[in-house]
Amino acid sequence: MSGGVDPAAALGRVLAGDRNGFEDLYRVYAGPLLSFLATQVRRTEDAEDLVGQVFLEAMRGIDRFEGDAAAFRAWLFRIGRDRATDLGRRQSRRPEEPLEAAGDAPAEQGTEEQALAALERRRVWEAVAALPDAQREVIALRLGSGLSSGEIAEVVGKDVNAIKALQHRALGNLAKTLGKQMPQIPPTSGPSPYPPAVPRRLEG
Amino acid sequence: MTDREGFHDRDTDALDRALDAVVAGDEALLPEASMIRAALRREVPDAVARDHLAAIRSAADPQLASPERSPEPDTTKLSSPERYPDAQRRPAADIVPIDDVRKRRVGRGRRRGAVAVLAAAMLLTFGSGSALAAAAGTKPGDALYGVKRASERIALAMRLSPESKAALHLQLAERRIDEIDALAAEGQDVTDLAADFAASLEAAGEGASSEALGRILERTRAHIAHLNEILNQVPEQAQQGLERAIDNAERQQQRTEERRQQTQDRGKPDAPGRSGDAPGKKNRGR
Repeated sequence: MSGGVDPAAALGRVLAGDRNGFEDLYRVYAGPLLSFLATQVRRTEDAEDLVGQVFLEAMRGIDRFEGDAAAFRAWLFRIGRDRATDLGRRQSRRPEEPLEAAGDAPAEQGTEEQALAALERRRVWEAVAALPDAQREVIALRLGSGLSSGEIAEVVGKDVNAIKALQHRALGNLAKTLGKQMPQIPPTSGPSPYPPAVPRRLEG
Repeated sequence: MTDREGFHDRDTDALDRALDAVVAGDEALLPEASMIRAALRREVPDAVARDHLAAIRSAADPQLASPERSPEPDTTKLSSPERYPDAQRRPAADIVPIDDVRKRRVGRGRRRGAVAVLAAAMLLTFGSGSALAAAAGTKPGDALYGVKRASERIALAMRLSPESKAALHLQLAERRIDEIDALAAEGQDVTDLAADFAASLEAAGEGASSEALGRILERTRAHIAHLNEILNQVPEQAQQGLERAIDNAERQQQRTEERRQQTQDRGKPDAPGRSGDAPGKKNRGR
């Protein structure tokens, strides 16, 4: 639902005092936030509640915010991460509801193909839920929310190489769990935009 | 799968660039990563987003709250003895249709700013689930009851999927039962709560799946049995309201049965007729 919305322009409006700009920011970031938070809390409804809390908190704290659209996005995700952690202190952090809760369950009148696709998504969801916390968080931010490894580093407060290593290990674990033969990564041209990975023992 | 065959033997930078391409929409580059992305991605539909935004705005700045969206009972009256002055003299009214209940609620007036501010503050401090829990023990007439109801409305608006909303409506129906218990035990009129209870049950059933409707039915039956059980134990002046609550619940039970049957029929066009218990009034406890 973010189609056509320029987050930088929307943020500029909000910072200039036009609170209606929040609507556009919501349209850009609510889906990615929900995608992330749904993997961090036990129940889908908790994730939905948290999305509301994140925007509520951002709306009330925007006067203290300084930065560009990228910083705003990182701020939103950090708020979400903190709130999920708060909630996790009171609950088990593992997402336990499969995709039915998100409305992705096979429809009663759906085709067999749709039902199989939904089952596959459920398998993937369960495999992601079983990942160690740090890997689950990174893979949700990377593939669920669509953040780059550099953006994730800002959100979780880790080095970008640590993020790349975590996503590497997470995808390897998912491949094992799902029994998939991961494809060869096609050769890439040009140098990496990031410095070479520093080998070290990482969390998760 | 071994490390040599999969992601573990790939350079982390090369993988990172490939994932950038997947996120940008190149699904063919790493189909498995695209599959994971498809499983994890969630969207917020436009219609839901509008409601959600309105609730967030209302919580952030109660002055912007629309009276149509967030009617708030007058907590001064709720706290005053005038709310239930004539419980004994109140005539037995006809069962209030759910649609009328909704219309009546819209006309109850503008929310009280302080209540919404407090509810929003609780949301921010504890999270909506805990905010609800914090005032969970209150009943009409208690100081925090308005906060409880305001936080319930905000929590409802924060729910995005119909399934989540339905689950919360069912929770709220159970809450109304607890309040009915408490008020009836004091001999107070529970007519309004009975209507709220029925409205929550009705809302829980809207758009629910067959499975969810089954759960709602199960809970509704339990509620009816419980209300029948306490009917003879509460003071005389509370019994009319309690009977109304039972009537409403039975009507909702019937509606839910019908909904579930329709849902099942749509799913299985060749299925035989109705399954499940036929609705019917149970023997009252008095």
